[in-house]
Amino acid sequence: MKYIFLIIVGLLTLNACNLERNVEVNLPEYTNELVVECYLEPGQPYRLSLSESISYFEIPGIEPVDLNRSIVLKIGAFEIATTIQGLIDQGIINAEEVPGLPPTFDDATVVITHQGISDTLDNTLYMVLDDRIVNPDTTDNLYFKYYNFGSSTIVPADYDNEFFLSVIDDQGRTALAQTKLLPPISHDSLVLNYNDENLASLQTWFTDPAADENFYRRLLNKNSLYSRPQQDFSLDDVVVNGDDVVFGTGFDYETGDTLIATLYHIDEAYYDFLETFSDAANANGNPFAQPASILSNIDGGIGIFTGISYERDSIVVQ
Amino acid sequence: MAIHCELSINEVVYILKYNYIKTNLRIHLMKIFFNLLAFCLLTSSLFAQQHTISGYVKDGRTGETLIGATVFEPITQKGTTTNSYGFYSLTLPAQDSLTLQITYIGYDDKPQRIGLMENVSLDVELFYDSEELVEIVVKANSAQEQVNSTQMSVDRISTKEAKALPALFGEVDIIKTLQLKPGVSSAGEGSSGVVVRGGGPDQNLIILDEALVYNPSHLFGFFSTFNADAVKDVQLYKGGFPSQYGGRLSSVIDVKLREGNRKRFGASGGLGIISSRLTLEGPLKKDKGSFILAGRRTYADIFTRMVNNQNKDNPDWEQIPDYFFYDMNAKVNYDVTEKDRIFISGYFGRDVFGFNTEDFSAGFDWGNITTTVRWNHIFGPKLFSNTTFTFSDYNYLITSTFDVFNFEVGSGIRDYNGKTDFYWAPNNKHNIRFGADFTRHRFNVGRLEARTEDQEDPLFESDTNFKASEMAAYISDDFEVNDKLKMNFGVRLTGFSNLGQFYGGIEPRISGKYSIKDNISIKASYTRMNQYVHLVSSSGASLPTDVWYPSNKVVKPQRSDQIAGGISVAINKQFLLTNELYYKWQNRQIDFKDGADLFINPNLDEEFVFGKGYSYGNEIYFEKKEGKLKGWVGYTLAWSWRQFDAIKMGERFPPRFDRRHDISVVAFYELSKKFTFTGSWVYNTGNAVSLPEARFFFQDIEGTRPDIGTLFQDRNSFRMAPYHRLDLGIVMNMSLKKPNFDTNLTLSVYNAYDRRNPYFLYYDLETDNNNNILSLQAKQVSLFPILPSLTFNFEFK
Repeated sequence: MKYIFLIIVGLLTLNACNLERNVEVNLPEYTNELVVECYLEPGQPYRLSLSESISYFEIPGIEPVDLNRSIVLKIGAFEIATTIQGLIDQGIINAEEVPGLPPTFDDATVVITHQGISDTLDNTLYMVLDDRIVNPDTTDNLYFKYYNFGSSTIVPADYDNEFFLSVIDDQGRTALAQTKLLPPISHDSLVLNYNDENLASLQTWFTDPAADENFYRRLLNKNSLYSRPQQDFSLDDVVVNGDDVVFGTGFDYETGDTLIATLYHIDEAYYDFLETFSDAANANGNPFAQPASILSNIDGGIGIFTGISYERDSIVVQ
Repeated sequence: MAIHCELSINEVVYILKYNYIKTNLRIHLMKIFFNLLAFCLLTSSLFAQQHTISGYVKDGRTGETLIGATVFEPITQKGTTTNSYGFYSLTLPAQDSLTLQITYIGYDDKPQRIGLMENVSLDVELFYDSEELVEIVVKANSAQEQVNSTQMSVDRISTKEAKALPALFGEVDIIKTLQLKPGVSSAGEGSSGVVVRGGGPDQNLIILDEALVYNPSHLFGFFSTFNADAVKDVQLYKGGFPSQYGGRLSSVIDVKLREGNRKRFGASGGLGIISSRLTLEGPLKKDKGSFILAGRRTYADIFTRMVNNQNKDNPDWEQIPDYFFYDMNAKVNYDVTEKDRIFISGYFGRDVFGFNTEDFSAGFDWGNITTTVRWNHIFGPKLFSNTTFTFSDYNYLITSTFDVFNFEVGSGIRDYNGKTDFYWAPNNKHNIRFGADFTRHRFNVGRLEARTEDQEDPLFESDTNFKASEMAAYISDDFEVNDKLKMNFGVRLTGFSNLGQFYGGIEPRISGKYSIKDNISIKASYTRMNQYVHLVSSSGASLPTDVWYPSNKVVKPQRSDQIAGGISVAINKQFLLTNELYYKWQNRQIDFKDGADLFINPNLDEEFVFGKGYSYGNEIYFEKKEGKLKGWVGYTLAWSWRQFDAIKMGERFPPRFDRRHDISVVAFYELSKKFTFTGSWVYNTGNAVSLPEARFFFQDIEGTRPDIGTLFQDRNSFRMAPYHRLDLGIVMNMSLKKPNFDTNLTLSVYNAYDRRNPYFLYYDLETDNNNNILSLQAKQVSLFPILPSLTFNFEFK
């Protein structure tokens, strides 16, 4: 018995060995595809980002934005033409905060057509900066979002007629898509509940219209829209059709916190895109997941062309 | 009633022809069916000068019936084997005296001298072979019986083999032992799921004492639900399916529970590193009836709770979830009369997972219940019947409480089944089996409920249920055409009804054996199977949340046709060599759309995609059945494909478990009465998997958390590294001087040379402090390194 015990101890010691190791994977040759991201928001101008997909092992060259490159910067409700250097000079951002810009794809003609009127978007770098100018304490990290195509045409609140997108690049590749705006659906109420420690939880209620098949995305931000959302849920109304629907949080919020709930009424294409985007990401490294293709409404490319209609409400924890 | 229709003459002619052919096909099938019966009756009357010997063959020590024992009369060279209930019937010419040889491998042969001037009822008891050193018997049927049988593509495993072989964590698993047979492979590292001839793990019909078991595994598939102490016999059919089985495409795993010792009380059990088990058995009334009660439970949760309690005041302590599983088998049987035996058996097993903290608690439990009530009746020496009622239930329930919110998610399936089988041996040329069964299914596809503590009405709820009926009738005849040629003709008529939609199926089952020599035969078979219920599972693993879903107007039944041919050679009594080729067509295979939402979705119909599959291969098997060294070597060369219009632009792709080469070597070496060494080595081609091939940058609406989109191009276009593993075991018997008390220690070493077998692959990002990607590296994760385990077993008998 003594020997058996020693054998077992010895073998168990061997168990400490690492169960993970590097392996070589040879990927087949990959042909890059156009990647489109465009959200049509009523009352806002057309903006679109265009890039390319790359082979998985290719490291994207994320370079800091050229300090002297002309950009159209959106700050709050205003847009100004400037440069990154100009922002540094005015003390709006620090030199160390200059954002890295993933590779964009600029050699293309981008046209959005609505009710027979075609609008060719300019190849200009549009950037959205957080609201640090008006509220400098709301975020720790610099928030930047970019588009490399845009125009001054304002998206009309037209829920009846479709919008068409056409992207043709200098290699002859085309990416086509169409979408329609959906009317926003408002919250019925935002309700705070408090526990014994005076921490609050939030319930956001809305009513799903029974007549239609609806899809939603609900984001919850704390204190600033430019912070990472506390919650991000996508919902197909298949199990809640016509019901009062609630999203709830834990007792996570303290007095003084401002909770901003945004309810997007999204179309099925965008819902599918979000779900499959997440599924595909989860399939990497999950032995129980089925590999999933990302469902895109871009014919000839990848990405999403969709309208966004939303209702946003906020509540302060007392 | 006036019917208005506008058809051209050609269309009318076509319809008339179609209906004519369809009607005539049915008539012809019915004719064949009745002619078969008539022929058997006729041939029965031609042998009027004969009498029949019938009865049970039993283990002399326990009184349990023996399945597949041979009853043989050497002068006429006529013989038969006992059926699944231990009953035999042999018709021979009338004579004053004859000697029957009753044999069962591992037991002493028993010559039985009788007079046969009238029908004779003869129960025979056999005892263990005194020459056997230890009770490890490569049981299955003898090499010669396997050569003589029309049945092909079948494997049998005894619990003694399974108990002797080394096992993961020392947990004996009879289903995993089946994975060591050619044509059968594991669904994954450590998994008790089986993949048979390219079919999915959901295409196996798994029955426990005739009750269907829907999710036969514990701990996410790592252990099967079958406690080896309670199992009497396991048969796996890979093809050439007998007519009494149906409902799944790829295999039948028929597990029979032990009946319990009819002669004396006994107890057996064991202590392992993750579980303990105990079995009690004994006579209800000596030689009239018996009972057996077997249970086991894991005990890791006892230690994790202790550790959690010790750290309950430590704010940094991450609580370890509770997990355990248990199962119980119970069976009683009683001879009500000499001709009637009643059996009642049941299985109850549950996996329980729990996690509780101050703010959050979650529970997840799942399991099966089966109940079988069976009545065996001997109508006469030539006709035996088995009538069974079974109940089967599988369900899971997930509960969670988060602050004031309570969620419950569940699903399940419940079956009520009744069936009757008749065995009729009108003469020695025919062994006829016929019967019918009916199952009422109740599917609870998904139940979801969310509520808050302070509100009576749920916030939202969803519940999707279906009720469906499945029915079948069958007949088969194992027909000895002449001394060399034996055929088995059968047909199974099946039907399924759900939501007003009815599907019917005619399933021919034909197999034949031709003896080239006494010890060499060639065999061939053709079978068709329909599968009317489908497993909704998006992963290669067996998960408790997988849902069974019925056929309906959208989801049509799956169907397979399989042909197989082979040769069997018995080399003296010791060796068996077989080779089988097979080709299987699988129609109406199911998969799921990209982005399919399979979890609690009341509109699952919309998530399916349909396609086809086909598999083919060759299986070589060499077995040594007797001597100090026993064991087998199997090699399978196989291909398996799937093809769906909606996947990969309709191009074919291999399923995850497509394995070109599969080798298994199993050995038992009985060194002495005290020590037995066992070992198994497996090798198979790595799994076919999908890996991301490209990616893109994505900002999303809010832009606060840009992400990388992952693009998969082809389905299962990469191969993981080959899988190979050596397991070693030693069985040490410790109390040989006490005849009624046995103990042994079993040392198992799983993965003895500590191979890092791939479980899954993933890409890992290496980033700098600013989250810039520096490199991407593919990583392989392995599950089990070398794992030794020790099990103590005891038996009072």
